[in-house]
Amino acid sequence: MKRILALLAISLGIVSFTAAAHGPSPQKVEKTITIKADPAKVWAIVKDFSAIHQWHPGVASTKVEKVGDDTFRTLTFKNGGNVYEKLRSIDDASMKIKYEIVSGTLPLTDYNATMTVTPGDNPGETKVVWMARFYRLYKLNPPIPEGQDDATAISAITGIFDSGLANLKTVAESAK
Amino acid sequence: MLTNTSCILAPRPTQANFAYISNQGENSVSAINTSTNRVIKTIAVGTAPVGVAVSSTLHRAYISNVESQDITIINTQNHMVIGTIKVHGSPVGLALSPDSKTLYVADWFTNRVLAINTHHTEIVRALIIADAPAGLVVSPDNQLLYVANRDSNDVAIIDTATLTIKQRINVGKHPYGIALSSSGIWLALVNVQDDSVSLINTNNQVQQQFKVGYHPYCVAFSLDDKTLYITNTQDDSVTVIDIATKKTIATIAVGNTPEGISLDHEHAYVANWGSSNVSVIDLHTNKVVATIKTGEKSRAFGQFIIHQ
Repeated sequence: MKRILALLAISLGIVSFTAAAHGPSPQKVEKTITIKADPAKVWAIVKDFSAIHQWHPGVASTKVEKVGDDTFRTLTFKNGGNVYEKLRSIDDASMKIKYEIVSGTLPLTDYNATMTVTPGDNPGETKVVWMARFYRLYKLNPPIPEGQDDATAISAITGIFDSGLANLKTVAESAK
Repeated sequence: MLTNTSCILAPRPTQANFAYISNQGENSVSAINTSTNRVIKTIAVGTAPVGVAVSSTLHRAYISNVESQDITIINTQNHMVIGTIKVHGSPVGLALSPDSKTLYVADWFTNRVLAINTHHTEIVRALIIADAPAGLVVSPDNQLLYVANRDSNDVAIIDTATLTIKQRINVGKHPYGIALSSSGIWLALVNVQDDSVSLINTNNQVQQQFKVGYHPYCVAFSLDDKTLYITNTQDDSVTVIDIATKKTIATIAVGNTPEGISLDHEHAYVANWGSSNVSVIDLHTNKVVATIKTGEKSRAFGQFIIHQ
């Protein structure tokens, strides 16, 4: 299945992340939201690697597969793009989930991300931090082609994080 | 307790050691006094600073700015910027010769190593080397320069007198950070995509590889040559390896996405890119004893502690 996906990726001309060189400076997007719900409840939503479409408004569907001991998911975006991601770890003690992008249509490379859930400043509140590290698509020196620069990559992830966290708050605060 | 008068008459010997931490996200360098673990000055440099090299002989710190394609020179006695060296390329790794006469620069995109005369910075020798040169280090006898070539998966050994390649050693996938032990006998480098560190005996070039954490980035030796410290960017940790027994003796949780690491006699300083701070590890206990807020996206790639 992984091989088929890889072949599909090549034939569709989408970005492959494996063993590719990248730009010199890693980029970061870090977003935080405070949710009026208990940390355990929020963590139960966040840690479910197979259910991001249930709270992220930009994700149409999630398809999970196991390859040996590894877990992957394919997210299909409502705008038509997609991304193939590998689960790195789920840590219940520190309420932290880590994953990385294997391939996809987003304009970036070498992407890895962490979502961390912590108790908020007040009882019954939770803080969620979503942080990603990645590189721009263009691997060489300036001039950098339009759409392959740092700003494009940062903007894509900022959009995904902002809309995702806003709706995570709505979903977590309305869920019983 | 001494009286005030005797304090004035017998001041502590001035031993000012500083760590220079490049902050990619705010184009600055944090100068940390390592006896107080406080940032004493934040210095504006070029765009997207990454590499650091220091010279106690010259009282200089050199900072590579990969996006503005230049190198900032800092006077380490007053932490003032005293010059900029323009580089037509993408400077990443920096290393000084032991006599401080030559600054070596790894140029990421044009696949060159530059050798800049530190007294006459317009005098530059260049060598086309391999794909994406990253970390580099000079032997204590000043004869050899070792360069980790990230996309060639090898280490080049360069004759510093002629600036020619003597030899290449194949290592793991994507070698990046590199270090030599004080004696010059051990060469260590991380293989980012193999999650390993290569330890090479420079006398016979026998190579051992050790598994470390996820996506290691940089490596440093203890000053007694006995221990290796490796930052694992994606595990937010530092692996400690005892060289004699070839065993991992500690895995230390540090800040988020640790990159650069340098050691003095007592402590390891770790620059955390993700959490924009520095973790200070006690080398006797292998525990974090201080966390110092620096600037946005701290990298500090290279040997960044000066003893002057």
